[in-house]
Amino acid sequence: MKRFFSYVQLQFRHLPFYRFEHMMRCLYGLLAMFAVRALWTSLWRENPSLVGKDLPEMITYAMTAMAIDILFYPGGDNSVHVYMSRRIRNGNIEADLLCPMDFQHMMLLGNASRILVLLLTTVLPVTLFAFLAMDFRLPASAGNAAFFFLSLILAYFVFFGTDFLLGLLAMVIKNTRYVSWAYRAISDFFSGKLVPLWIFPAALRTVSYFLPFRCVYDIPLNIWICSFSPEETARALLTQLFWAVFLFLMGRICWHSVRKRYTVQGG
Amino acid sequence: MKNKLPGLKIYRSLLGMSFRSMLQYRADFISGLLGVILLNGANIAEIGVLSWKFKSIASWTAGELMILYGLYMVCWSICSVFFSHTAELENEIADGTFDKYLCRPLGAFVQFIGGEFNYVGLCDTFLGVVLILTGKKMCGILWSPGKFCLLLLFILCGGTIIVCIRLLLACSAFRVTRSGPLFSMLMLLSMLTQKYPIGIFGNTFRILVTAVLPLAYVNYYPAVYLLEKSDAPAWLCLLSPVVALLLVLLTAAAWKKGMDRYESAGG
Repeated sequence: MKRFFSYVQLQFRHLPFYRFEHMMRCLYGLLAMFAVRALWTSLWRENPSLVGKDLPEMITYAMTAMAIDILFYPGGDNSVHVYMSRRIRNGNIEADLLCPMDFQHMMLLGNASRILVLLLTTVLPVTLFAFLAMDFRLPASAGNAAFFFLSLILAYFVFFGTDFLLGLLAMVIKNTRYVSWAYRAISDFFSGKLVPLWIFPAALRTVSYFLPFRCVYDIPLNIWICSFSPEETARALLTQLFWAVFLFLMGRICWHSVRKRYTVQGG
Repeated sequence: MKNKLPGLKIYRSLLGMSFRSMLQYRADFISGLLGVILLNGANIAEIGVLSWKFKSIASWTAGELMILYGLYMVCWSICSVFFSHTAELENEIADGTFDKYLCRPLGAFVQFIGGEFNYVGLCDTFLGVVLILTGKKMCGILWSPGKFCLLLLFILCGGTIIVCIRLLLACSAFRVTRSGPLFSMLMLLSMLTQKYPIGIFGNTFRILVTAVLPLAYVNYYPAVYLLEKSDAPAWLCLLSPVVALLLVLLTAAAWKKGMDRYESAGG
């Protein structure tokens, strides 16, 4: 925990140097929220019964998805596999591998601290603005809010698990640019980020239940808009916990296997 | 003219070199192909799910949305195949590798752009053409030879517009070093304009993607004209070549200004 806070402190120190980047990220969040709000308002007005939720609920779902997207966007600087791919290509990964610390833990601490700083400095101000100006609803009770944050933490671990595995793939195939595109497209589609899973045809919805991606968006979002019963919430949190542990262990096993064969490029 | 021709010849050689070096990495080729197919598959599935559920989006049917998305893909492929190196400008400026272009007796632009031939982008061209033809068949429309010529002109202008916008944003790296957040913003806007009729996002958004970052001229206005929709007046749709020409001039000026103020990062 002490190490984690040192990482967080370091991330805060970087902030003043990237003011433009920070400003643009806030603007990105606002624009994304505005766009999905307009899209779902338009679709809801065409046929409210087909959306399956009332308008403020649907808008809140879509806007919260965009807020989470700022944190978990799989192709940005907050992504472990992007960081690893870049350092693998230029050979700088050598410095990370020489650190007297477990590699997976180091990636987790570095990435989690960045995500926490993003949450505090970007997502919270953007969400506050959305609440004041864009019909954004808060969870119905403090209990729901607490479950949402627990679910968000588990969502992060699932996100990290898949992202780290993709990073390890970069150690094998060197260039993950296209794999990253495919991963982003599939995870965006099956996570319920762009189109809620309850709108999907039954067959596609069933496929999504066998994949980890819905743990990153669909579950926390449904908890935020209170569409789960207490039993469903408990089941959903357990599903997230299962995927988080499973992916973390998979990452561990794969890392030990890749490490033995890995040759640093230009290192 | 005498000075331009050697530039073109070397540009062709650079593209050839880049193409031959890429052919050495077969796994990369296969992952690239799969990546592009899955990325576009997810986007098409998203359009499909929404069209299946709502029948139409802002009075655009599934076939019309396919033409809209297909047009974007074909235009994007021009940028993707020949200008995919654009987004690397910020990294090359930040780590000082851009200096290498200035030490050789040839224009920096030709060397920079010629550094990558992304053959995977051809997959976008193919899928885009298939989507346009499928959408056309689904809508049951017949285009005269004149309209086909206009379609080609729109595609050429759309491709030029994407290339110029990306280069303009990349040029901002000469001033602020990091243009990544601007590219994220562009990706978000592209994600919205590529598959949805922009009318659903309201007038502010329409002005943004028409007058500020004219992404609507890539596929939306051409599709409105070709499908004879009443979303926008015909004269506005036919402005596409003018917009493309203005952007070429603006981009050339931005590149020149960027080069004038470039100071090496000393990498």
